[in-house]
Amino acid sequence: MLLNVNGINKTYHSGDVDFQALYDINLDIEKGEFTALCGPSGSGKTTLLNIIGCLDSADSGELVLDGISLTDKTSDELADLRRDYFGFIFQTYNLIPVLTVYENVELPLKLLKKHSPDETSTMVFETLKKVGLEGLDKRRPLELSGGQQQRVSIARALVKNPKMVLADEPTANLDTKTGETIVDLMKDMNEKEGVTFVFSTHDSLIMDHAKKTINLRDGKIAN
Amino acid sequence: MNNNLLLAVRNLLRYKRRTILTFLVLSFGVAMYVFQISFLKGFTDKSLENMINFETGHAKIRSLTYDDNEPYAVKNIITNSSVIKSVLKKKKYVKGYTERLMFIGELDNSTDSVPCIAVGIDIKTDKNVFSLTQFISKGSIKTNGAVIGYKLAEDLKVGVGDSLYLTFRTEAGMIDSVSLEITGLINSSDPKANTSNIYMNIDIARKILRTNGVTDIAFKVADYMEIDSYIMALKKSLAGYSFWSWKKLGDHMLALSKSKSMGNYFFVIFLTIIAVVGVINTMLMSVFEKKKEIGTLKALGMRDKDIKRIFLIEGSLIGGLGSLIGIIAGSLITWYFVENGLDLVSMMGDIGKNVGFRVMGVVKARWSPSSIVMAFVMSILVTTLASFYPAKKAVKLDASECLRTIQ
Repeated sequence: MLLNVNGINKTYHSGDVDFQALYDINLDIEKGEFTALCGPSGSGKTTLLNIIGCLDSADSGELVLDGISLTDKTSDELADLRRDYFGFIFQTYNLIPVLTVYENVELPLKLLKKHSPDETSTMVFETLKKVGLEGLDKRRPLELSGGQQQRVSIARALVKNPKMVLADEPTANLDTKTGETIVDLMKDMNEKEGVTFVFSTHDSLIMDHAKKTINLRDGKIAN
Repeated sequence: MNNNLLLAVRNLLRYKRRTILTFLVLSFGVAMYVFQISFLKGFTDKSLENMINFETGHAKIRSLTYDDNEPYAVKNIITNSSVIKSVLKKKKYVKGYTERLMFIGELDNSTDSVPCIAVGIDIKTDKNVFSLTQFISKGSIKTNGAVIGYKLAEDLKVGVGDSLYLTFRTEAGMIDSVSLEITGLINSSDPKANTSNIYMNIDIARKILRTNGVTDIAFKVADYMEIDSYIMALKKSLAGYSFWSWKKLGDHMLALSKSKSMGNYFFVIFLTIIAVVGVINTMLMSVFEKKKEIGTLKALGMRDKDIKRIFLIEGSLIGGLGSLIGIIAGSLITWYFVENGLDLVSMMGDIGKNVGFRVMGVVKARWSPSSIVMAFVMSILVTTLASFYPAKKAVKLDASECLRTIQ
């Protein structure tokens, strides 16, 4: 078991208004899964992904990642867990615009501080090759198409061989064809490299590619 | 390159116009500071040089009863100066000495009269301590007659060869008056020598004052900054006299310089506030604009202290580069005035006298390396400190909220 989610609840507060985004969520993610979190906008997909990825905290319940309970972790400990365990892919790519493609992909490895400069370089170029971005390493994100930017984002998530990749609506900003290519790429990485993927989507075409689907409705698991 | 430094540098380059504007505010402040400090140093140093070279030497030996409130009183006259001179002669660190007889008087050209300070000088030894004789532009100081400053001559409408009446009190307190021929004119950088003093051979001064004494014995030493320790040593041999170092005699000038420096510091503080507000504003805008990137960096596992460091480095780079540009600009302006100086006379007449500094003519700026280093260090320190608040704000941002930001 890679991740165990036990009775997670999350409420957002905005002034006097409270909005409960998640109700008693329980789920398990096994190593090598290719799981889709499905549901319409506002169903709690992003909130759940953020809590799984240690970017947000739950009001109650427990998360156990690779046997480690995430309850009461400090800000630095959570940062280290994100660095060591997760790769993130975002709907709007979230590449650092002042860095080149190479530097964006290199950044997670530099934060890990485990590899020599030569190893880092090899890993970056190999990953760029896998996602089909050879020769574009010196470009800045804004010089690339949406599909290419999402590939850079995938390369950045995969370069450090994370235990789990969390992708929030990875195809929402792409046209159908490019979106399918991106999902194929993720699936390919899952099958060939055994990378665990959990991604949110409300696109039925993309959902079809998932090996496991979790449906969220109004903050509750529907299936 | 280190992640934090790379991101900080690239962020600064991203909004070039804003970065340049922030640089310029800081650079202007630093440039003005460097220039003002150099000019003030020029004024202060030149004033002290004039005082030392025309009036005090490195120190003066006076009567033990010398009263600063009555500098020209009869009781100040020393009658046995030969004792003092013989002691000074034996000391290796004394590089030269001379005696002077100073008294107050009034100069009269038959139409107008002006108060003046009459100075009897030893023509042979005066140059061992003072520069006065180098600045006699017309004529010379002779055994008879007197020399006056060119400005005083202009005011009294006299020239070389003309005569003036000098009225004074003798040692016995009697009012007397003598006619003195002007044998030379002084044109120096010292306003006092140019405008209010009359110099004559000490023998003439003694004769008209009917005294055998002197009022001052001035001397120069090997290292003028160490004058206090030399005086301590001399006091052992000359216990019956009072010693007046250039520091003591110039304390009013040093105080003036200090007060002008204070004014300068207020100006610098004002500019610093503008720079700090500019940096905080720039950095806060930067944090706001980079919310999504901050969220991404947090998602990638960057720790809060590293995110904070990026903004602190940005602030210190603004400070470092801004002050560097300021130092270069300020140094270029200063360099011009170090080389060419500022001609106060042609610009504003006797302003040197009016602003309290003992300067006249062309005043050159002087380099103040310590102030330049201080400006550089302070700029970096201030801008880095100013970046703390925006950096703290960046760290406090919630990662998931940052990632939700639409930018």
